[in-house]
Amino acid sequence: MAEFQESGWTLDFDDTAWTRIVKWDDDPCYRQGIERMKGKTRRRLRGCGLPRCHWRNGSDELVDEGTRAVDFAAIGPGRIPWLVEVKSLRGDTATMPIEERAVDIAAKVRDSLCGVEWARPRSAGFVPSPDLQHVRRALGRATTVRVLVLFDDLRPGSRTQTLALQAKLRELLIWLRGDVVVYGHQELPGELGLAVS
Amino acid sequence: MAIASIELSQFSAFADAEIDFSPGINVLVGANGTGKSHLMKLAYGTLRTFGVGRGRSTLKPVQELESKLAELFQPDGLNVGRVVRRRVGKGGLGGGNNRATVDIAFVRGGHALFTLHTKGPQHVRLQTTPRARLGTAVFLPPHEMLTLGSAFVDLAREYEVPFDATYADAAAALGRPALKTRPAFIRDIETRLLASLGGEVIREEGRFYVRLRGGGKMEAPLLAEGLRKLASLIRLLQNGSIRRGSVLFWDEPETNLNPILTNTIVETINELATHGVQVVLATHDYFVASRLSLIGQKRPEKGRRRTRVRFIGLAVPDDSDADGTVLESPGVLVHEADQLEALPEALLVKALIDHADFERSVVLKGALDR
Repeated sequence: MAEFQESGWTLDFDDTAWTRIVKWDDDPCYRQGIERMKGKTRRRLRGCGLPRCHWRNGSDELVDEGTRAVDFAAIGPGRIPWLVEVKSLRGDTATMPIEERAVDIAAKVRDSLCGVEWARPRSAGFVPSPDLQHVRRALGRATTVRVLVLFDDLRPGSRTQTLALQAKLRELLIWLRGDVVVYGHQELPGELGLAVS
Repeated sequence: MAIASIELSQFSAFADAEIDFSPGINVLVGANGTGKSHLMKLAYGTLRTFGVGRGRSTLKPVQELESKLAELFQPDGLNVGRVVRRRVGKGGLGGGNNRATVDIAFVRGGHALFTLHTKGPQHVRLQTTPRARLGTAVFLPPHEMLTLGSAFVDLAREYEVPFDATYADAAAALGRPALKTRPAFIRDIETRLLASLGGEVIREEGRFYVRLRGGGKMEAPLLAEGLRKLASLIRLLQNGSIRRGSVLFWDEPETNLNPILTNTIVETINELATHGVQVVLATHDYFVASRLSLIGQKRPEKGRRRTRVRFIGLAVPDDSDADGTVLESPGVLVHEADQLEALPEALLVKALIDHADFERSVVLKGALDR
């Protein structure tokens, strides 16, 4: 068992199913690597088009172009690469609409694939761990990637939040040709080899 | 003989569209008024005109096609020219003789190419007929027809009834007697459906009953509508209306079915498709569409063929440009994909997300009565 703390939860990965696990958003290759790309760009927003509306001709807005990361990059069940994101409905983002949340997670997947691929031994100060190197090689060879999101549902017995998030994420990550699965913390299937408490 | 593709110009809500069909399952999704049912009726009417189910008609094919399309679309005065796309301005409806062009290609069967005209003595002009006699086609409308039975068929033949021909055709197909021998795959499907129904479907003196497993029989009108739909499907399988090589059109199969029965129906559709029945269905149900999408992606079991599933998304584009000027509508946009999530802006996904956001807003505000 490998134990990690994330978003107030304790995650126990069964080491027979999960052979390599990298806490990607804490990894030095992320912190000193792709995460350093931060900044804002000016985007032109389309106006609403209504007569007399001062937004009619559009406006400029500064948009954050920072890099994001999923919580874990791993080699998991099926000996294939998995990207794992843990989300809690508590805290500041509780009211975030599903669509925005899905875009946020999809961007993390995109940035993580890019960051892990670039995490190669390049200098004395930038040496990936053996686990990260295994995950990177697996991602390079893989024809499929699984994206697992652990997410709360609001009411007992309701799967509305997880289903909606899964549907939107599958739409956004269609280019990945991978599987996206979203589970509530309380309903993880046994064969996943992951326990959350 | 399966539909390979349909090309449309100025038909119904479509300006110009080219749609490829899968020989397996074709799922039409889109908002109301995007032309899903019209597309299905058009293909069904053509198949019925040139198919083996045509019977001994004395009409010429072009007359039969016009009559069939009129019965299916039920336009005023049975003028099928009214399904030609209506455009605003000069040359639009009320202007010249507008026309729609329809070209339906069949797998190894050639084409049916015809035009529809708003004016003129003939509203349909046939240019190319299919090379061979096409296979059978069945259209299941959203509501069941088991209870109306043969009396409805006679009524629809003699009088003007406010039901399109899909209802009378379905009732007529249900009235056929069961085949003595049926293929093994049909018997397998039948066994599973009969278990869900809880009895045998029988017909006595033109009325349908279910002989219950525990004894006794129940007349079809006393059954729940969902079970009547199930019984109808069993009957159509038993009498060979749905068979290998036929095309099954099903408008909103989920209507009046409980969610478990809906899953049974979806699995049956999959079974039929793997055994050579082409299925064209329209749905507004996320779970039906999502399950079919997964079926299409699922690795087939050993010795079985993968079900080929195609999603056909129909959407009405925004008809105003950035400064609010209303433009002439370019017609319904058609998107094709092999999975639901690959359709841009899938309405079914949007509805699910909308519900999740509503749930969250209610729960987080503490607005639920405990």
